[in-house]
Amino acid sequence: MAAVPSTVEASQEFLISELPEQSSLGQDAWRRLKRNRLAVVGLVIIAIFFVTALISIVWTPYPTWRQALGTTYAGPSLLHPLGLDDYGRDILSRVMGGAAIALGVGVGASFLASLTGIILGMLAGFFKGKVDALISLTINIFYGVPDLLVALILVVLIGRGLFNIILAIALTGWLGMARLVRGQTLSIREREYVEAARTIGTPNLMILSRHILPNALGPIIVQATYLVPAAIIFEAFLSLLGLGIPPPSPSWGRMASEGYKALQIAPHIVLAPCAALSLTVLAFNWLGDGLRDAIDPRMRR
Amino acid sequence: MATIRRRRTLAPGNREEGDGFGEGEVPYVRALLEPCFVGGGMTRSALFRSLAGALGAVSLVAACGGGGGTTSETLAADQTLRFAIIDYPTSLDPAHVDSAVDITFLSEVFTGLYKFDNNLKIISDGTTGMPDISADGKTWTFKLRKDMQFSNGDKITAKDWIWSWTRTLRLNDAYASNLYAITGAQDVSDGKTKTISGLSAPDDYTLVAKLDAPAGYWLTQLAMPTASEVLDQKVIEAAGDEHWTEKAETYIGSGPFKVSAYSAKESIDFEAVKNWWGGDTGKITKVHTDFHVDAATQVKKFESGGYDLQGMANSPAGPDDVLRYKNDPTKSKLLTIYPGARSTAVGFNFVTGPFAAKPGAKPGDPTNSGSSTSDPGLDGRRAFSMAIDRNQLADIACAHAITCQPAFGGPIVKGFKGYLGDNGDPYAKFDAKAAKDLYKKWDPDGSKVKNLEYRYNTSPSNDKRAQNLQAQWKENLGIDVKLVPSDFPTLQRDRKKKIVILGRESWGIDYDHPQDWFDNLFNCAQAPIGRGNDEAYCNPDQDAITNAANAKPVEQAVPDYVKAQKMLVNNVVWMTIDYGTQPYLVQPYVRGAGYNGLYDYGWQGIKLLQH
Repeated sequence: MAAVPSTVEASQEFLISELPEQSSLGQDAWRRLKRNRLAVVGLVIIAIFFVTALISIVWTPYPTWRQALGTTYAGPSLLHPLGLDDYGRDILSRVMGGAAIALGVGVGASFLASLTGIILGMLAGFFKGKVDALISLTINIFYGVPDLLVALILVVLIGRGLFNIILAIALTGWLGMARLVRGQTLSIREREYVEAARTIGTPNLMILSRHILPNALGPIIVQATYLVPAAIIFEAFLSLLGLGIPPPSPSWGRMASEGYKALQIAPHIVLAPCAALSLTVLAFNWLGDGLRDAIDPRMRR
Repeated sequence: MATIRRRRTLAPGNREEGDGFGEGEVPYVRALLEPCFVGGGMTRSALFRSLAGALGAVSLVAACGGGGGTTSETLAADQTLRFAIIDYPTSLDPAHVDSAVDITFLSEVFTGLYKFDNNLKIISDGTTGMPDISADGKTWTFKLRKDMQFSNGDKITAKDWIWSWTRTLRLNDAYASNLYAITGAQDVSDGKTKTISGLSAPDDYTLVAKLDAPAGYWLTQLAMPTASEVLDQKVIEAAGDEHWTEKAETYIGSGPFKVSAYSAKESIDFEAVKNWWGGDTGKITKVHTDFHVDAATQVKKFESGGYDLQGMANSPAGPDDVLRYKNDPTKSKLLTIYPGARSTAVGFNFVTGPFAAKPGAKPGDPTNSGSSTSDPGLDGRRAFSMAIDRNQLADIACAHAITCQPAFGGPIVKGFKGYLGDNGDPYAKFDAKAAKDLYKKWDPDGSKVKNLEYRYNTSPSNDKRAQNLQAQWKENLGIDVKLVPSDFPTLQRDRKKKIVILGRESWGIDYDHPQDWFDNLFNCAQAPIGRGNDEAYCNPDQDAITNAANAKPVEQAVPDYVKAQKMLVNNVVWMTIDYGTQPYLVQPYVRGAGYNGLYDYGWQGIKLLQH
């Protein structure tokens, strides 16, 4: 004879079925991110630019460097939907190529800056004392020097290659991340579970990687997302000054720099790269705002 | 021979594409037919179809350049001419002058023995006529005007000329070499003596110069408003050699204008000299010039009525502004484009790198000769030159070839003495296939051009030239050339060290004589480190031809210079890519302003109508 469930077991099953489905912090954040329309639009735009950037590595309608494809300054046409620039180059091809550079610089600089900021921020917040004092002093000194000046000097010293530009931007972009992570670490290291880990003799490196970093990850992701558009803008500005990615690479900033001089006779030259630049920056900012709202526990209320 | 290099550092000029005039129709005909030499109706090929004629035409352009004044036109009450320049004057001292900017002002304030008129014809200035030259060509006697005086009233005699020229040689700056033809001049420059042994004054109004060798080019050098101007010894010695130009009251000359106010980094004002010894100073009574105003800002201020002219003192509007004016039917009437006097080229290093004719040779040693066929870099140089479509380059770098013209006739600019003629440079003809074949033969595995750099000094037009050269070499030869921009002093320093392998070259003509090119750029004397032959190209056979030509009157010497220049283009020392033009914006009420191919028209001929 089959066993009849006791009253207690039956009531337990009932309670479980009535509980809402449990989800992780990530799933929860994703669900809330999806409800944020601007963030989704940003995500879609970024995805489009990423795909465009990937395609441009293997194919563009015309080589981005090829000149005299038609009359210089020519406006949009069927052959050249965004027109030609002052060198007779296809603007669509160059905007596509520019996407690869912008996203490469943005993501690359954001990654490097974040990595530097996370490591130094965690060291400062976790060990406190002299380590904190030294790192904080370094951060404060760097804050006192204009970002642009540091980047310009570095670019002049090490040259204008893609990696050098990423390095120059990262060198000025890690400060905010370091401060943020330091603050997070200072807070998290006092939590009970960290105390408990320390009590049972867990090595510092493991505490940092297993307990502190995962718990600080939310704000880090948001900050890293904001670093991407900042780096893109920074590269564009360096290019505008003639110190960005060297020609004939189709950097959006360089395109804008070359195009603005002809603004009165051929505004389309400056319009396309500026629109792409603005859209990308806006998209990353929307996504960053969305992520911030989605990850922030207070937003759950 | 000149041993100091002079390189005017200012921007090249502009020009435009074919206007539909027939082949036989020379520019002066066109000038007669049209109210002015305006960009709106003018086109590239017509502009340069015959610059030889154009030098004559510019006078007609002058007549129309601004509408051709008539006696019935009412003059404005205020005859103050206002314009700006992009740079500062390098120096206002004729002994230190070094750029076209300086010359613009010096020619109005000082007097030389001779000067160029608006057609570049040499005419008397401080003399009563052309010099009396001895049969052997070595003794030149100048008869001086007896009525000359400085603006402070001091009389001018032959002693003033001797003192001025001696001072110029003593200070030994860029244009002192214009006096090197005189016996003993270089001894003064070198500090060996304080007097020029070959210069004397038999009386107050006669000046006699003895030369080391006949110099057919010297009259042209004397007409240049630089080293040979007469100065007031009394004033300069009282104010100090290096300070007399700093104040209006001590900046004394003998020209039709004098300085009335001067702020070194801001502006300069001039006023016509009352009771000028030379007679009428013209209609303009005052001139105001702002310094260091970029071309775009100048154009804006011109449009708001703040300037009467734009483009003076080698300060042309940028290509995009020129294009904007050209494309606007109303504005185009204000735009005038004159033939310029600047060649822009790519230079190849003849002693170092893949293009070297004699790799490892010491700069100054012979690298080529008329008979030798041993030149391992020759095919590479020719391939690089033939791979460039100069029409495309001028179209892109010069705003549809307005601000420069493609060059097919060697380094010496079209319209000037020694020009090789259209298509005179066989390696300037674009032939992608021949270039590629030659390149593959020269460098089959691409190892010679690995990491090749193109050096240039950055400017809007130079950036465009460089990027177009890079794109064309990539497209037509399959070569990736890295662009290395820098400021001008850095490039100039490395050029003189002879370490630039492939780099931008440019030369603005000082005066219309081929000697200006060969003695400054292409002879063996200039090939050693520190001198002006950046390529270290040294061809003794070519030197023999030009040295002999230097001694002849220019008319007889031109065929020799042409022969020498053919050696240059066959050896591809420079691959000349374009000739500059000079765009001017002139308000409709301004008459008589313009450019003669080397200098702005004198202020004496300018007038402002009521507006």
